[in-house]
Amino acid sequence: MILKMSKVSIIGPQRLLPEVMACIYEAGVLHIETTPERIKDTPYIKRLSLPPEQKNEMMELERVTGLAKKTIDTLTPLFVKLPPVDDRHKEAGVHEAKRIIEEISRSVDNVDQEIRGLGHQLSLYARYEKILDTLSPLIAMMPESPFKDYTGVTLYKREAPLTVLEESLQRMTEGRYELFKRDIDSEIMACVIAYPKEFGPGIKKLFQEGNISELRMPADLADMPIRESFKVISEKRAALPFQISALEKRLQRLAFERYGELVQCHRIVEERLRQMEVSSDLYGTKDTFFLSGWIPEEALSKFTKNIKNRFQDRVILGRIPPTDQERDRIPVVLNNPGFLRPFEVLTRFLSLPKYGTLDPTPLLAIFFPVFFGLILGDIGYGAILLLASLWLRWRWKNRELLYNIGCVLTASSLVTMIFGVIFGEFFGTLGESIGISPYINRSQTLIPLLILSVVIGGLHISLGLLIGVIIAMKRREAREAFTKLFKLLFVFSLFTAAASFYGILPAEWGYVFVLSGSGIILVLIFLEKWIAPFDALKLIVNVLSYARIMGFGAASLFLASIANRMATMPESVILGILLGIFFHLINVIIGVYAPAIQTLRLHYVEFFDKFFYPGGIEYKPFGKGERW
Amino acid sequence: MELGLMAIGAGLAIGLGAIATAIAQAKIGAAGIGALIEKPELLGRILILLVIPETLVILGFVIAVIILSVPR
Repeated sequence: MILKMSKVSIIGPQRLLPEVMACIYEAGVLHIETTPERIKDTPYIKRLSLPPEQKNEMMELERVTGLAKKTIDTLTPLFVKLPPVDDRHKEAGVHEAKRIIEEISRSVDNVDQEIRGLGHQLSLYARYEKILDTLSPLIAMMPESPFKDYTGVTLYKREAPLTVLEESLQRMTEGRYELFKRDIDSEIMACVIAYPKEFGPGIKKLFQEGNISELRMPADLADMPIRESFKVISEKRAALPFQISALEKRLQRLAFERYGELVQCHRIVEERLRQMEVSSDLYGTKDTFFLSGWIPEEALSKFTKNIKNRFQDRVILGRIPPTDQERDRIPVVLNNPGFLRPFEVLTRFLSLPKYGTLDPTPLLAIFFPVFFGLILGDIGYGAILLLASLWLRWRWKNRELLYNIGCVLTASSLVTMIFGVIFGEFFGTLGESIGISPYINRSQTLIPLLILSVVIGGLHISLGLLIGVIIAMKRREAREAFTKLFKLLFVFSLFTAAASFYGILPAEWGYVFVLSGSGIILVLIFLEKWIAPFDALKLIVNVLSYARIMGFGAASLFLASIANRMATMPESVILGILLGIFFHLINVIIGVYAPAIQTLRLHYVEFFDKFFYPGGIEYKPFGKGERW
Repeated sequence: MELGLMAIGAGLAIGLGAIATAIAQAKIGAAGIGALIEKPELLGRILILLVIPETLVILGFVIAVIILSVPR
């Protein structure tokens, strides 16, 4: 059911705007509408601009919210389960909240930056790991001398062979060099070369010309002699993981101690920012403001009294009747009784219905479990699903979406068990072996069940069309109402003609209904133009599509039978039982997925198409709890 | 012989329907995933588009059952 909404407008002096906004925010029931274009174009009406000090405050709040979000994003991954919001600062003012956010963010950012910096260093040093491991023993062998210089190079054996390098060094230094080499892998070789210092520039040039890559140390160690820089890298490589781990522990402690506090303060700042954002988007004259919005009718009188008591005649609240052009802009609140509410998740999954149309949730609550049960129809599978759904509801009782899915699954599994009793199925054909006798044996009544499925389809679609006619009349869409009415008659003539051909009705009636069906198509062509014949064909396909109820039902039964047969094949009883459990488990998974998807499809594609107006705007009241 | 032909007919009805459904779903699925990355809120609508071609295989299945149920 869609809650009835009223449109209200509020007009008052601009100096009272902050107070009025705070009052509306506190009530949390008004969905504020963007000011319509026709009002924006009225003479003397202009967008309200915030005074400079408020603009500055807004910018500051945006900065602090961004900071809080960034810090929350840094801390959130540290929790397996998020801690509750800390209420300590619930009544804190915006300034206090800002101070706390900045303090926590600064601490978190410092530690986080340090971790990142050390992590960067570690990954940098890790790149030297192989070379370092290879060259360290060579460096250790080098005699220390103030007149000698060392350099390390890596050689690609194929591109720059060692012999060429040695020949060049020999020529340049006249044999006054030492070279120590070791293979890093099959392609790369590392060398350390010692030479008198005066040959330094010439040797560097030689490396450049010969395309030999000289070992470059990290920037912070570039000025250090190679022997020392190797030592520093080794020490840091050993120490950095411990330092990072200590900092991570510090960050975790910060998260545990202050996360809840941070979230609470973030909310306070966001609330204030939201109030300012909405105020800055309003219109008014030089001295007054104007706003309009939607409010559930049941909350209207309390809201009106509240405004009246607080502002007396200084602020005027009026109720405006919505125009026809506005009807698709009215926000929608789905309001179903508690036991139907979980099924709203199936409606929302597609889209909200437009205001003034029908909320299909109650219909989904009836037909979804029935179709699901009709397809799966097995006591054993139903029992497993029932247990799984109860677990889901218990485990995720605080997560609305999962809890609601659990409730939908509970209803569906109960109906599955009822149909399981009718079909005499317990893990497929196992029911017969333990003495459960079927009222309807699905494996032997495929054709009657096929006909039953198509008949169910016809009735379901007819119901959809009937609802479609009523809604179209309510929306004063005469052509749409007539089109749907004639489509309904077409389905009726289709079924009566089929009944005549199958001998349920007198044979001569069949021709009458075929003729009337053709006549209806002509009327539909008049109403819908060239698309009508395709629409009539689509109706037939829609009805036949319900054959999937029987099709997937039979597939589920046959899969269960195969699982039972597999279980009896091995000679070992234990292996047989394990195989049986394995295949039945697979079947349970398919058993949840296939009926759920197929049933949803029958509703979304075949049924909703006849009466559902998607694209409803979600009701988002301005106020506390709006985002959380 | 007649039974064999009926079985082949039933197999073709469901098999060709299944192939056609698979081709259509592969294309819709690929496009749907692309759209989902941009707009995750379209999941419901994409699911509908994805399951629309299944009617082909269901109709094939109906024909197959009818063929096999013809009294011999």
